[in-house]
Amino acid sequence: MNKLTIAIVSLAAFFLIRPVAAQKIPSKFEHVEALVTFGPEASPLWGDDDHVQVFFFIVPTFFTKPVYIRVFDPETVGLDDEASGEWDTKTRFSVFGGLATYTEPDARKIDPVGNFKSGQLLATREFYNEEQYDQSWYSFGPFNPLEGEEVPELGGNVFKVIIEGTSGNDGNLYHFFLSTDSKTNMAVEGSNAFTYEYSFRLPLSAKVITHLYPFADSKVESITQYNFDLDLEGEILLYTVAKNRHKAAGSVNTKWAQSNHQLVAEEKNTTLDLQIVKTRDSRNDMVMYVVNQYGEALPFFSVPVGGPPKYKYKVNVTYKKTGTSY
Amino acid sequence: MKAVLTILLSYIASLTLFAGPLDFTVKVFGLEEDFGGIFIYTIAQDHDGFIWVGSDDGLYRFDGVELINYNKKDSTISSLVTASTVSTDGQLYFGYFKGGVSKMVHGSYQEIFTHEDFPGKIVSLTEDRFGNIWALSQNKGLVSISKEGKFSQHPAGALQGKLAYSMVLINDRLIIAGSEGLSVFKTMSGGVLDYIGNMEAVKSQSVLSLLSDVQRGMLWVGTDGDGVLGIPVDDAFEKSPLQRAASRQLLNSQSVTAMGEDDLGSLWVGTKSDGLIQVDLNEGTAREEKYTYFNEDNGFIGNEVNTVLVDRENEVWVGSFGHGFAQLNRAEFHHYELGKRFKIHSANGFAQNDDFSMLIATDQGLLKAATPYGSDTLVFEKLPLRGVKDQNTTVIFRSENGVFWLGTRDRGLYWSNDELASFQKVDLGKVDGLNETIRTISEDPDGNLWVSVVGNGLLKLSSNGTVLQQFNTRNGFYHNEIYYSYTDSHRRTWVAAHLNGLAVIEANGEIKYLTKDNVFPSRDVNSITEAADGVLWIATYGDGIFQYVNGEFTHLGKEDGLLSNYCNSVRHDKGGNVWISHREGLTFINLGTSLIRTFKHKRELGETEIVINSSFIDDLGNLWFGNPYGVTKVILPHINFVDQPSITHITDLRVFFKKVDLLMFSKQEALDDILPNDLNLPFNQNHITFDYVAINLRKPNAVFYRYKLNGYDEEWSPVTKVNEATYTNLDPGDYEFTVQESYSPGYWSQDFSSIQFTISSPYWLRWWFYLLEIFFVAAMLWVTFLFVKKLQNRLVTKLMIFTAVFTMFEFVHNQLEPFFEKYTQEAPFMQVFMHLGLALLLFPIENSVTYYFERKRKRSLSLAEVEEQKN
Repeated sequence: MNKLTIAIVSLAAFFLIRPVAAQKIPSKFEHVEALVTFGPEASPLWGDDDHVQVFFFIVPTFFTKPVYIRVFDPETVGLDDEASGEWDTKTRFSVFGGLATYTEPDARKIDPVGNFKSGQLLATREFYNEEQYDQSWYSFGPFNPLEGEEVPELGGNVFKVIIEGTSGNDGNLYHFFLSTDSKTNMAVEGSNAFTYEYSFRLPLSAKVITHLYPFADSKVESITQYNFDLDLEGEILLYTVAKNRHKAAGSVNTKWAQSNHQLVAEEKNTTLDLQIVKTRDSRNDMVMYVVNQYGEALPFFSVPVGGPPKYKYKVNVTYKKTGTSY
Repeated sequence: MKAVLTILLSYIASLTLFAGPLDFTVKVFGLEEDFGGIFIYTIAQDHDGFIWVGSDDGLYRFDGVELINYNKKDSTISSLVTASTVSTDGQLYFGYFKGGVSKMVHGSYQEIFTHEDFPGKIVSLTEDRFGNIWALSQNKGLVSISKEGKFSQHPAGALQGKLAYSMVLINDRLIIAGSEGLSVFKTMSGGVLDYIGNMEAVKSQSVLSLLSDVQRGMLWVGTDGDGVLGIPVDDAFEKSPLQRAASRQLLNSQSVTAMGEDDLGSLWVGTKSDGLIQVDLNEGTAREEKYTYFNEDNGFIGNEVNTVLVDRENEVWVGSFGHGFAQLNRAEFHHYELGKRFKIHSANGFAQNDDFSMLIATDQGLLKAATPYGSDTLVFEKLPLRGVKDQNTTVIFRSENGVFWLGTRDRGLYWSNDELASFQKVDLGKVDGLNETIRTISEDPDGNLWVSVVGNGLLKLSSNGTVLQQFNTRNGFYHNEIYYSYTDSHRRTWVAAHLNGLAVIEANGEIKYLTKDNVFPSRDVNSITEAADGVLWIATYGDGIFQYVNGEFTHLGKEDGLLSNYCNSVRHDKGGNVWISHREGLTFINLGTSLIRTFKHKRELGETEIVINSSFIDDLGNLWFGNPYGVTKVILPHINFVDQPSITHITDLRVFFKKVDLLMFSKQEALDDILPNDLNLPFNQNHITFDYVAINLRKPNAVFYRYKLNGYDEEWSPVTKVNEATYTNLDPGDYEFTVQESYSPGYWSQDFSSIQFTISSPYWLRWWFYLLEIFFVAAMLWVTFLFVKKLQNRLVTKLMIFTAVFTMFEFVHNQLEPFFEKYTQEAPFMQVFMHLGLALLLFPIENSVTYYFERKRKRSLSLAEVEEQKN
């Protein structure tokens, strides 16, 4: 290959190869296969307790461009979805913004009850077995970041996406991407996403570790983790800045399991790392949430706040008195 | 390697095809224009012509010159104004993202209901025929507002669980576009709403926008992903709107967020992520729709269009989502350079080929200019001239019977009746000279052709090319060099010649030599046209232009504003206005206003020199001129060069250059219209600046103003383009500020806008103060009299008398001074004389009074002495 060819190929590569944006939800940190919502007629055996998933997206205050909430594989047919007989499942995606989107207490509860659909409905669409969306992206938006609810403590404007299985019994597996472009995934710098109850599919392969990142604020003294339908296909471990490999309870098929963990002062205002270490190759969907000592749910952030926690080892040093003082 | 290079070069070449929209300039409003909005939700034009923009940075008003942010003036306005409408009584209504609707009342905003009353994002506002305003929320139903301002909510069960995006009213039917198709409601008096059903034409498809096109009797439906559907609003629609099917579909696969229509046959379509698209519907022609794309590829502000407004002047206003706000300004001219590609040195003439294309006769052959389907780009190609022995063409003409006539430089005249596939030579009979050079061709109402041949006069041909009659010096005609012939509506054929001027061949064959007989004053005539009003315009080479009305010729020349007295051609556009071409450019005469404009810069025309009689109006009304190296299009002159009548708005009155709360100086409780007309300013607030503007959104810089302050100015001010006038140190009194606008500094109508105000008098100019002053002077004189009678000291006496007399005279002087000034003006010399006169008057009076009192005292003393002696 001569120099000219190299130059041409390099030039073509520069223009044609786009950087792959990394702001996918679930994020690369989590090693979650996909988000999952089953149709209302699906049995809990499949691993979805309530057929509803609620995700919040934070657009930083300084960001003033239009944003799109993109969904990969929003329909329920073909690859990546879980069939239960005929493809007969409909899933509704609804985007909310404006006042009370996040601040409404019902919006932050585990169960989809009360006024959890608070805020202004900005966009909604029901997907069924539409093959044109199989393995492809659908974009909600554009949205003005100001149309989200301004939440100063989160440093931005919050949009809420509610995913509901409205009919059928199949499982819809999907991803999100908060993008600045409707046709490609262009990351919104500084954005994040979180949920209070995570319905997801574990990695297919054994020994792949899934990380979930709940954030413990200053008032958290202890946490209780709940998980549903892990099917004992792995173990759950809690890592924090002060805990190393604390074992948490794992659930059996269609059952909830829970375990309580006390936090120490240095664990407040930090991200916790709940690791699920799979021990079998399988398709397994499960649900998880964490509450504090008051029963208030903790948010799982897609991008861990402050980064994944690193256990700080303590060296237990004692000084031996060997001589006399003078 | 070669293959790689070829692919790369092809890719680069393909990029060059992304030419921008040709006939528009895009004006983007940003921080330089004091506009801070990025997300634009709504644009409206009020009855006065102001443009209102609802953005993420608040509500703006634009008058063509200035953008005013109303959120800074009124804190009650929510920052996200998401909907707007103008009611038939001219009131502006605004809806907000958080919910709530307000309207403009007396220049400020009055809440009708708030987001606490109704916390639903308002996406659309419209007025029904009963005068109710309907506010559509995105997902909480509707709110109706009565004329009295009372509101009532309509949850509209049919809209439950759906998103609503837009609505239109067609008669009494309210059609709501939403995430699941079109819902139809019936509106009734009293704000009653009755659900009829969903339209089958759209079914459960998501619809983002609607446009009721009254002009075409069409409801345009902007879908989310399936383009635009056209549903006819006809008898079938009236009978059963739910069953009426769509008859037209445009722009398949587009998500259409906004639509607007202009008066020129175009639909303006805003899309979710593909920019703005102009759809030239080409109705009434055999043409397909023509699409012009405005997107980021050709430099448009952005691809996410959220709202579109076509204003009353057919200007297009585009609100993008995330990229601000822009105005599409139609360009006035477009020049197509042909010299490099086709090596032409003269574009000699034009003809309409078909609905899609035009022909241009050039010295390098015949060119075809066509617009390919779906594009607005004009593509030129050279046509083969089968059967023509001369590629140097001088004229192309299409007669009413569809036959093309081609004039050449050396080989005479050809004709083609097979759509230009081949040409046959026309036998012109015996022709003097070596060459048969065709100069012009015209057609009379009988279908006969009039062909001028260089050196051989004028030939009259039948529609099949047979020579019927020859007009040349051999048979007694006045000249052989005929530059133009034109048969008017009276079937008179006017003939233009150099040296011998103008002649006319009457319908009965009688020939009148108007120049020769001293009826027409110019000897060199180039071109003739008859305007729609029957006025004949005659362009001369050296003597300007003449109008022929009722048997009389009226002259216009360079002294009247023409670019030059050397006129190469004269044409009237579809609006009836006259265009004259010169070697240096163009002159435009607006017959409505007598405005004369000239265009002589290369930057606007591209090429200024215009070939003699190379001008043409195409089917759309564009005017074309042939240049030595290309062609110049005057874009839709009947639209672009017609100035809409406008009135001047006096927008503000400032004191000492500062904005003030004018209600402080008015008895009104609120500002009516724009300014109160009962302003009463204190005497020390007499430095006043008036802001005014005549709204011309297309060409704000084309407006001239003049103003006059009645009570101060004797004459109108000099003509200006400045939007403000300042008066300093105004005396107390009543004033009326009047201002006029015009598009020509030499043309002013009788209309003007005005505002009356008063500068109040200070206390020392009030009547009671005058009385007080008179009383004071009288008292002082009296006291002086009493004292002087008794005082013995001569100096003190003199001083008191002087003081009293001086005070009295100064008082009189002050009262008289304004009257003196009227005659003396402010000449210092006259002032000195006046003061001297008073002083000279004061001196003898003071002396006389002193003398009087002295004598009186002496007499008293003498009498006392006599009395003493007597005693």
